[in-house]
Amino acid sequence: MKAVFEIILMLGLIVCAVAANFTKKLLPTIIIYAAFGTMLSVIWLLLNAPDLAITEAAVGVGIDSILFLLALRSMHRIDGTEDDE
Amino acid sequence: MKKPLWYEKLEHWVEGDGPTLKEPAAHVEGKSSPADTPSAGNLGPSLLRGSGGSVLSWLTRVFAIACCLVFALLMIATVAYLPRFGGEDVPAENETVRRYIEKGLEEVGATNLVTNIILVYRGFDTYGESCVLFLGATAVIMLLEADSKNTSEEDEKELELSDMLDNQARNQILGHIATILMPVVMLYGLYILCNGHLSPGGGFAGGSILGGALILCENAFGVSRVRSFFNHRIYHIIKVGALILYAVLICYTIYVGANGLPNIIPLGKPGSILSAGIILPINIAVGLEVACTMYAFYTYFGRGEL
Repeated sequence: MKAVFEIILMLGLIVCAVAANFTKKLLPTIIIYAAFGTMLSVIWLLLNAPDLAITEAAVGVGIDSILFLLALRSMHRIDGTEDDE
Repeated sequence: MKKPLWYEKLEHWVEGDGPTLKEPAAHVEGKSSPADTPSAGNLGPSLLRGSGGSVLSWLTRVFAIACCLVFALLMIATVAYLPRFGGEDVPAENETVRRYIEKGLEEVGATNLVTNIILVYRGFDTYGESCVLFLGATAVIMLLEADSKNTSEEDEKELELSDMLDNQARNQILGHIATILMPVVMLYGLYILCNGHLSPGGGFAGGSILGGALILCENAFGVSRVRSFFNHRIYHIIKVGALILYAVLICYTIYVGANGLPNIIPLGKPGSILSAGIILPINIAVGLEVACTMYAFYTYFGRGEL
């Protein structure tokens, strides 16, 4: 059961990594990257590395995504922010 | 050039059904159109136009795919030669690891062996990482700080106006959710910070959660609310103070350990919260450092001031 779950997560990682490269808009890229980080943190937990899982979830998913979104807002690449036609 | 069907399907799935990005932004991603390979994009369209253009782009693509395949095969071949994970003949399985596992609890006193290794046995490395965070935040402040030299009066007025608008029409949903979530997130961050020597977690993870709580507070209640308890001066005191505390503790431990002197910091009873000697203060110092850095990154990128 655990092995099946692990394989599903690994496949999800590959799909997310490929999709993040192929997307042309930057906002979906960040969301896909956050999904990648979430799955990676679950995989760390399954591999008995809870320290790494917590750090990945907090830094890789939370703070990184916030900083990326902030950079996008500074570039005015998100719909609804100023300077957006 | 016609795209294959699977590519169109993948693109459609990835993009959803919104408007696609404008042309200049496509260059930001380093890919002007999916039909070009990146190297063909670098050569410029003028070189590829004309009769020989399609042949050249075809050759480039074949070459790129061949390069990728060769490197992938090399990597897979290298992985095949690695010793089996967790086997007995792994080079990592030596007396260092055995000593960490057997004597770690006795020598350092933390029940979480990972914390033992990263904060005491390899404490000097972790000190370097904290310095990297400190230098990163310093560089961000140097580059992005909004002072009289790079800010006009118009910019300041604009910032003031947007702050005022923010205060008048604050997002009610975010405010209510943040009121419920903020104490929980803060408490969870502190728990992970202070239990680093007993359970998974520690300075880096707990500090990022605290930093995230500060960012949530700034978003939900405005920057003035955060400034009431976390202003420029407190930021500098915490940041420099935490790094100095860490430096002093790690220097003392290295000096005492290298010279075989008795360590005056008591190790306490393993498993209780006040145990493991220098690990608890180091965890708190690292956590405060990380929380300050995360919040500073956020606020300097967004507003240009703390």
